[in-house]
Amino acid sequence: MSILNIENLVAGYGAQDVLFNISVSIGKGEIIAVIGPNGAGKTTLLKVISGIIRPKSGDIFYKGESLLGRTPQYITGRGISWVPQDENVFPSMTVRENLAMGAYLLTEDYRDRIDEVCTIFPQLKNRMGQIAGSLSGGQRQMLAVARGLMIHPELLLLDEPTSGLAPNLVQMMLQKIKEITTIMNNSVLFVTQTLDAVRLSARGYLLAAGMIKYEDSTEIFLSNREVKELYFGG
Amino acid sequence: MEAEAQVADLLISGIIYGSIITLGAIGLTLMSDILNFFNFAYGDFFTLAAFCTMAFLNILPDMGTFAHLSFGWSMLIAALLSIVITVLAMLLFDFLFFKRLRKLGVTSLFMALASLGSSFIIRAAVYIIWGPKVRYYSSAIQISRKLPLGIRMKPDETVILVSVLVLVILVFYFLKRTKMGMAMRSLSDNKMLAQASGVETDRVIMWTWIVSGVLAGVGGIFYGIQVQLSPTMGWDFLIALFVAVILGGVGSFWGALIGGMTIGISEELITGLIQNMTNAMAIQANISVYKPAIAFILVVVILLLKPYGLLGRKE
Repeated sequence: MSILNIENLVAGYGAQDVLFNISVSIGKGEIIAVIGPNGAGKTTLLKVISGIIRPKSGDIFYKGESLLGRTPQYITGRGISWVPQDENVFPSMTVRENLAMGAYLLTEDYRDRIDEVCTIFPQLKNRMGQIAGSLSGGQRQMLAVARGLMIHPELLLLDEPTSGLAPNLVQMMLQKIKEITTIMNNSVLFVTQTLDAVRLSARGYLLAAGMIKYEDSTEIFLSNREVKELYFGG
Repeated sequence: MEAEAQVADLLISGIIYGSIITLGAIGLTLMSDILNFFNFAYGDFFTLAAFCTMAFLNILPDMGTFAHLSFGWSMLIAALLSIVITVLAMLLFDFLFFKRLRKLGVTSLFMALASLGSSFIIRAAVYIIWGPKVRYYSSAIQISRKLPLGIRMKPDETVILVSVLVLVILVFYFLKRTKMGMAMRSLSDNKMLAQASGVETDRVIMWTWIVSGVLAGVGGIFYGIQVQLSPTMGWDFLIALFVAVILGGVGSFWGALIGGMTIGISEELITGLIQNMTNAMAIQANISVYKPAIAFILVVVILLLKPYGLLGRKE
């Protein structure tokens, strides 16, 4: 059963269209990867789903409900959590405050939720009072994903979660993403340029120049020579 | 000893003046950080609060004064009513002008120009309603009282200082410990992420106006206690507020506090000492008119060393 269905989506910035008739679907509990070159529209796709940008045409159905015209607050409240690639924490606020902001729409006490999220990211436990802007790149990325998990999301949108990380941290982050879906049984749509990240997913989409060029199960996706040569260096 | 007493008196004056600047600087820096423009009308809301207080004082019956103070219950009631009116006036201006401009997506420069227009509107309204004459809350002369450590303060000044301290603590608590305060800080820190976290921008903006309005209301009333009421009192005060915000760093609560106190103390101390020197040399000069120059010199020196202000952050 699909948790998210994007149908013939057209979106952009002002007069400039960036996405052209995009159709993507994500099943419950699935990990889906979207790969593509810089400027393909990957981040724009995530922004449209999270309500930051309004589409010009097409529709987005989340658990059967159209998200057209909905505010980012409403969409987050329905269980979709977006973790941006850049500027993905509140740099002047502490780690604890960042996590509290992740739980802004939560009705229950967020402190229990912090404990749950810290079982996935124990490295954050001893840094609760630290200002987020002073964290290392890897710690900041962990905090960004942890913040995204605070709302009990059913769908997690991750924009290049391993970007800028050292190779050992890349593996750690990918392991964490796998852990998240196992423990929390949520769906993940992540944008990536990392081969290992694609291997984590059940299906992949190739996005280029704002259009879906290719989609298939990961196994077949990765055996496609053009995909491998163009995006993963053979 | 006399010289030491003079310096102590100037220091106290500076602290009182600085505390009033601090209230305004906190309000102004909040608005600058969250609403993303310098509100040139902010000083005139001080004027509005001061004149509304005077108007209510004229209407309310004389309920006497508190011990040693120049005001009593009628002043407290007048002050509360004026603060409410100041907040409502700021919300009204937002509804009529600033909200519409935000929806159109205009730049910060246009918002600042709109605030400049708003300041003319408020000042004109004060002129029309109350006229250009300077006024006072009370013609009674207060005598300074001796406090420990040789400090001399007027009783009203003590109330101002304590009230500002309480208000600053309350605002800090609000920003640091309440959910709305955290939402306000998150919006100024990372607007897109705040929206994606569920923060409603319109509600945060409303609360920004409310908090800034309360600070303007209280600041205007205290400023009216210290100086003559005139239609340009707030506009003239705006320079000190801007300089305090820039000195402390735009968007920084503690920067506004440090900036406000620094400007207040330095203006009073430096001009006071120069005035004493000129008096001793029998030179006729009113040095107090040069107070804004002190503030500007100070901010230029600080910005040369710290371009984002003492506690400001690089955008």
